[in-house]
Amino acid sequence: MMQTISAKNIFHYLTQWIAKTEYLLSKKYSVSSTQSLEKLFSFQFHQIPNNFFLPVDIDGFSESQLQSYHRMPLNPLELGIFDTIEVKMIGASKQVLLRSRENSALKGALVKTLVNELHRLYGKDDTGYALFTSRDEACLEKGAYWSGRLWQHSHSAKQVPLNIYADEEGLALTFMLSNE
Amino acid sequence: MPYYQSVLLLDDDPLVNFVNNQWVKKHRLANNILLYEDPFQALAFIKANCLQLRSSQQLPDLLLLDIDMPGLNGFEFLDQLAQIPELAQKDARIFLLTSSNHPLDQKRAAQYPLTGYIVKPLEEQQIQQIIKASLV
Repeated sequence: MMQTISAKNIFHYLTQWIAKTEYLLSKKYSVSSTQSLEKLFSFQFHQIPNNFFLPVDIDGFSESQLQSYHRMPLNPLELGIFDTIEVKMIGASKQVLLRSRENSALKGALVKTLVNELHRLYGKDDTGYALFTSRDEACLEKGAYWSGRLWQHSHSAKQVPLNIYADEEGLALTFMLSNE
Repeated sequence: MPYYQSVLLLDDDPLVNFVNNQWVKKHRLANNILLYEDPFQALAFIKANCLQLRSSQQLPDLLLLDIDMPGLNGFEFLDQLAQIPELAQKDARIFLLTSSNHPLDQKRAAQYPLTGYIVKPLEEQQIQQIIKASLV
C-alpha cells in the first residue's frame, strides 16, 4: 500500500530531524573532544578504574565529593612515558593522573610528540604556549620544574581540561572528565 | 620558589577546583594545596589547626573562595573567618573567585578585607594579580 505523504507526516519527520540535529550539536564538543583525547591512550576512559587498579585510602582527603581513588602501575609504559595511572572519582567527574617518576629528560622526544599532539587537538594553551620548544626541552633536561601546558577550556566548558607538567615527583599528565 | 606557603581552594564544583588547582601548580603558587568543596569542612580544618597546633604554620596564607556555595556562601564563610584571629595574624591574602560579576556582590565584597575579587575563570592575568599580592 502506497504511503500517502501528508502535511502532518512531513511536520513529524521535520521535528524529529531538528530534535536529533540539536541533540547531536549539543553533544558535539563533549563527544569529539573526549574521543579525540581518548584516542591518544591505550585505555578507554569509561573502563577505568578496573579490577587491576588498587584502591587508595581516601581518609584524610579534603575533597568531600571524593568517592574513590585507585592506582595502577603501568607495564608497558603508557605512551612510552608514564609508569603509573591514578583515577579519582569526584562527584560526577573522573580525574585521571598519569605519572612518570623516571628522568623526564630521557623521554624528551616522546614528551615532545605528546605535547605537539595535544597542541594539534587543542591549539595554543591558556598561557599562549604552543608546540614543544627548546626551552621546554632544556627544563626537562635540567630536571627542573616544567610548567608545561595547561588547557582549561574556559570558553568551551564541555571540553576536557588538561594539564601536563613536571615537578619534584616527575612528569605528570592530568585531566578531568565530566559525566554530566 | 613558591609565592605562598599554603593555598586553600574552596569551590563546590570539583571541575572548577581541578582547574584552579592546575593553575596553582603551573605557577608554583604554593608549597601546599588544600582542596575543599565543602565550606564547613574547610572551616573545620582551619579551626582545628588553630586549636590543635597552637601555631599558624599550617594555616593557608592564600585563600581562593567561591561565593555561591550551598549551606554557607562565600560571604558567610568570610564572616566565620573573621572570628579566627590566628588567620588575621597570618596576614592571609583572600580572593573571592566567583562567576558573579553582579554589582551587589561586588559591593558586598567591598565591605570585607579582601585582597581581590576575581571573576571566573581564573586566567593568566588574575594569576599575576595573585602573585603580585604575595609580594606586597
